[in-house]
Amino acid sequence: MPITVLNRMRGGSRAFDADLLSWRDAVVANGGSVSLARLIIIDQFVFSEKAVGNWALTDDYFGLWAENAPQALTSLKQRRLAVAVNSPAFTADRDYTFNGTTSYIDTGFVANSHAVVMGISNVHIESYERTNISGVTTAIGVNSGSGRALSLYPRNGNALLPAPNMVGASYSLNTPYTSVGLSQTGRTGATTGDIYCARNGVDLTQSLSPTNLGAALPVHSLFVGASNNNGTPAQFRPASLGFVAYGAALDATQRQARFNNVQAWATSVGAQV
Amino acid sequence: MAMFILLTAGQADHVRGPSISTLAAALNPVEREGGVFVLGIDVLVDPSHETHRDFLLVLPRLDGSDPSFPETTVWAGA
Repeated sequence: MPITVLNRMRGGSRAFDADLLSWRDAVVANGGSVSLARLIIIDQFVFSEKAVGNWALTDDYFGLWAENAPQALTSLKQRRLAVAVNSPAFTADRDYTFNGTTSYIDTGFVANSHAVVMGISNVHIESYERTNISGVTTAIGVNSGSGRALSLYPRNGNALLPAPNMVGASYSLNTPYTSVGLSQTGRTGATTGDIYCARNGVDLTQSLSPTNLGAALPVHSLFVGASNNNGTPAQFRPASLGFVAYGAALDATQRQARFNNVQAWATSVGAQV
Repeated sequence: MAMFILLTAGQADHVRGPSISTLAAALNPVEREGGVFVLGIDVLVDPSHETHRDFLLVLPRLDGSDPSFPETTVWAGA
């Protein structure tokens, strides 16, 4: 549908966001489609993200709770086409579910070369898990060694294990222990104390400090449903994931706003948990 | 528990790579201990990998909960 027609349908309010329309065009070029109803929902997400400054601090987003697989695999900001490897199960309007042994998504995002706002000491990664899974397994991750790891284990027992370009940290989950919801972690500086971790926008309490800082960003691509361990998939997580994002560090207000925006998107498509 | 297709290194090389019919799909058999490679049987019903279906259909399968299922070879600490 032409942009002029779409924007006319918006009535007297604002026009559709130009970045969103570029994403829509990329989805179509990748063999997918975006309904008008879904365009309105994601337009609201982008508008809300820009309003609080989060869009400018983010390298990319994947809304895996999409209407079709090409839409899910086309990233919202860099419009990168991810690859579904070994047939993870896509469910429209919900998530991708991984088998915990072989399947994963390769985002194609190599932080060391593709990051625009993420920096060595300025990192944020997050994932939205829709079912409760416990284990030392990775929802989103890459590990290039020497502390150059970006990863999230949303739950292992009573802990969330984050690696925002530093490794070894652990955070205590609030009860009842669950992996469900939006897990967030980030690095805000050059020391092991410059780390945060949150669930659904609320900061968690650290139980173990990081032990090793990455002095550069990872040089391998970021995986979803597993970790890219120096080019080899590992730590497969049998999770159902609806959303991931990564970029520069967010402050506490921005983390809470991000959760609110993500949850609004999830609720609009029926994927909220 | 899920069923998995077992492949040799050579068979894994044969199917590894991007789908010829779907832009954003690929096969990458995962190595386990003993030089065994595995794929979930979901790949058999994925239209993206139809070109490999006949080849994969005749390979042996093993339940992931079977005690003889080969262990993972890779460990990546956080």
